Amino acid sequence: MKYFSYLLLIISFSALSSESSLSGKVFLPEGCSKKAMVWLSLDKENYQERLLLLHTEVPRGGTFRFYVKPGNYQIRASDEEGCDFLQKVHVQNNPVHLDVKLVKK
Amino acid sequence: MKGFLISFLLLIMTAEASEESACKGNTIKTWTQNVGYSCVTRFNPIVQDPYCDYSSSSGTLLFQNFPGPLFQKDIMPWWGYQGDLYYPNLKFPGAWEKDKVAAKYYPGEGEIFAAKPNVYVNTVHENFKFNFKFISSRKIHFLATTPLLDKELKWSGKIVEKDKFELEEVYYDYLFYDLRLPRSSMQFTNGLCTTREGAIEWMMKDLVEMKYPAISLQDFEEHWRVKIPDYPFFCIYPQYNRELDAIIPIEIDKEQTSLIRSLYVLVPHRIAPGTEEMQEIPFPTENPSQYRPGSKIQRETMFREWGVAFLGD
Repeated sequence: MKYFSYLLLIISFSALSSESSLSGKVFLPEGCSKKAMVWLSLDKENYQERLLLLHTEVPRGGTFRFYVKPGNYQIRASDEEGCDFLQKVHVQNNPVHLDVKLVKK
Repeated sequence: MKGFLISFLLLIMTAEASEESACKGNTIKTWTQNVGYSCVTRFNPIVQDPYCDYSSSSGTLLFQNFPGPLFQKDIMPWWGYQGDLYYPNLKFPGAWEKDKVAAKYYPGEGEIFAAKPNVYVNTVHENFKFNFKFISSRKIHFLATTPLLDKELKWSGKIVEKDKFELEEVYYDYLFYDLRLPRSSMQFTNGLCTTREGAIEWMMKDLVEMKYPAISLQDFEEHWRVKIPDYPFFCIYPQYNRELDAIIPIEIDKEQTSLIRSLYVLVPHRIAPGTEEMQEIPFPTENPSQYRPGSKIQRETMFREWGVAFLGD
């Protein structure tokens, strides 16, 4: 019975830890567009491995959330005027929140 | 006499082949199990090459049956060019392997990956407050949302300018979520099979039938012309309120309000449907339009949601 409880605990813990989230708020300064595309990909240097998982269009001041497995990701944001943002993010079991501040290049 | 018979048979065969392979005028070729191949009316007229409109030339008709020029007007939106620079799979709905979404990269459960259900609204009211709440008793396996949902899985705000959402003083043209759904809750009887282009046109025509607003049609076409992978054929299995309200129920806390829902499950095929031996998903056998939500009854506030979904591996 004791071992069974441990087993249940381990299963529950692993289930809980298989999902986390990555949320953010988008800041677009003057000179940028009113909307940005926020991209979530695997954090890989090699182009062929940098798989795009999800992307969403977010207006200035808007918010978003990606639900992810723990791991290493890149959050990129870009707009039509050439404004850009890139951050590598290591997601563990706890949700991560970012301020996505785009910069005019 | 023998020669005449052979010529006659060849003539019949040629006529049948040409009927099967080409649709005339403003129609596209579709396929269903019951009817086989048939031609249905296009949503948009055929787009001609703007730089060389050879078909309307008043000159010689000598080349009228030749294929068009190789040049094609590129219709990618701005984010398409940027995404292409950074990601090898931009023109897929997500991570993609073996003709399906690669499920191993995503959390949660469910064999169906519903990408981009977008929710649009039209109302007769000014500054109309609303709550849009996911009320499923089962766990909802979200993949993304814009904007953030609150702890009760709810978007709260007001509708401004008749058709925009305002949440925490930010205007959104639409509310957005991605999620995984169980395959067992989807229907795979009603639908049709057609080419990639035909699939996009059919879905848009379906949305027009349900009176989706112009901005939602524009967003749909812009997004899915890029994100539907380049397979020659697709079978489309539309999921309407009948399926979606049961598996992902939503509560909107206002009277005189309705929500019309449409999620198209697309199954890609490398060769023309009907010639493959084994099918993981059976070909559709029924006309999908009979279950399309009615749009004749207009409410004061109409929410409309579209999405496209793919199988996961």
